[in-house]
Amino acid sequence: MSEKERYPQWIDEFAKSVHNSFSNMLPGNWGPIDLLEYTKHSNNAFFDKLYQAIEIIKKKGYPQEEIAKTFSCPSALRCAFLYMTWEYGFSDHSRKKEFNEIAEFFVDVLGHMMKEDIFCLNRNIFHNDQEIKDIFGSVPWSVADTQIARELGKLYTSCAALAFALYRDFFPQISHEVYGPYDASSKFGKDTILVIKHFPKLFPKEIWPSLEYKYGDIKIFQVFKNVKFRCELIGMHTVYEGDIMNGLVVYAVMAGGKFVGIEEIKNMSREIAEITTKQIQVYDSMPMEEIKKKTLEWECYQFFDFFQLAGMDWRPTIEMMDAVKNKKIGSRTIIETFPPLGEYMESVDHEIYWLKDLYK
Amino acid sequence: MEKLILKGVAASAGIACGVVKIVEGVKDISKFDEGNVLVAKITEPSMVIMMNKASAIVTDKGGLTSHPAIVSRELGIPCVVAAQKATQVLEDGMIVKVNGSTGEVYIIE
Repeated sequence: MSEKERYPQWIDEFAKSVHNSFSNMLPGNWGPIDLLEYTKHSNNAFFDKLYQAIEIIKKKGYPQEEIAKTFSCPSALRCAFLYMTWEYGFSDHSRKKEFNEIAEFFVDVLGHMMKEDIFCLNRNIFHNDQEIKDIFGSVPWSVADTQIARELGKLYTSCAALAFALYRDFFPQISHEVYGPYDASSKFGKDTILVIKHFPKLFPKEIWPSLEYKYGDIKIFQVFKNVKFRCELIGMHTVYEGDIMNGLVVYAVMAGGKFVGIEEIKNMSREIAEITTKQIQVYDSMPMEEIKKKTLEWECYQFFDFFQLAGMDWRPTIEMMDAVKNKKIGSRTIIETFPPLGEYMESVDHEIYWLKDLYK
Repeated sequence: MEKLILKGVAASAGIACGVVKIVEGVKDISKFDEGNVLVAKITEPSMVIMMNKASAIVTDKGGLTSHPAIVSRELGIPCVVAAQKATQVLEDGMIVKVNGSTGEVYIIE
């Protein structure tokens, strides 16, 4: 607990990570819905569903490890947690006790998933030393050059775009994570790091029944020399120092559990870019009531396996749908500026105040 | 001769020259050639085919971890974000030099 105010230390860590992330993203303009306005109408309906699931899971006594596995990646849970705080902040606070339990439950899960820096202020360290050692030993590494580095960049861009097309601007982290940096010097020499880009859940038939393609899960493994890497709350928000084109030493790509060669990588980039271009056009003809429904589905889909573990239907409840039905909500979320850290942490209009208030 | 025409946030290092193509979405795919400089208010998934062909990206909006910035770093191409009026000042067919290390865009006359 903090000495001045009594609240858990993780709130300060969360504050720094969220602030860092937003400061680097802005000015931002995201779609296809005004998510802040949308959350104002939620009326605690999602909390009720989540709380029910948590109660069941606690009662069944599942180990943390099994609960953690229900999330596609830590960034998916971190973002879901951030959106939960918005939903709580904009609510009538009648679920204060329940939200406190929900928040602490998911922070514990996140703590179990991450080996350090749980809100990813700088690093996304999800794998333990043994897992990294196993990756070094089992992955069929190929030597890279600048041409290959560029091809991997194209594959990354295509996969990232597909994640955005499937889950749009607020939920792509369900299907897009970047892990690292992991020290690779024991295997690849001095000043080398491993970065892993993972695209799980690229084939979410449950929310897009008409999807037809073969790509469901893609991983890009890259070892860089003399390159510094950091990422943020949302792991895909990566920043490099150094030349990642010339600094790429070795690489490997896994698609659907199988390692693939460079020609297949080129084909995949092209095909996934075409799939993305087709998928993104779905939104052009989608009325706002449909977009609201899709947003509810995305919101619940973050917890798809979690609800399954609880034996519950993952889909939005009628109460959730009624809460936003026929409500006037715009198509863009626009945030131009963000306050300095000190101001942000005390602001009654932001999530940190709401979290600290749980402990008053 | 080069003339500084825009200044924004340096988001991905490197220097590239190319022909400007103002891009709004899928409809622009047919006009976008390999090596063009992609100029947009902000990039989005519908532009993926064009981003994979671009020699540089310049956007009106965005920050250091915005979509165009992240993608450009992965592609190893220069990128300038938050250039404010890039889509108004630049026009299709202009030849520009993008310096992603300084955040500057020059028109080549």
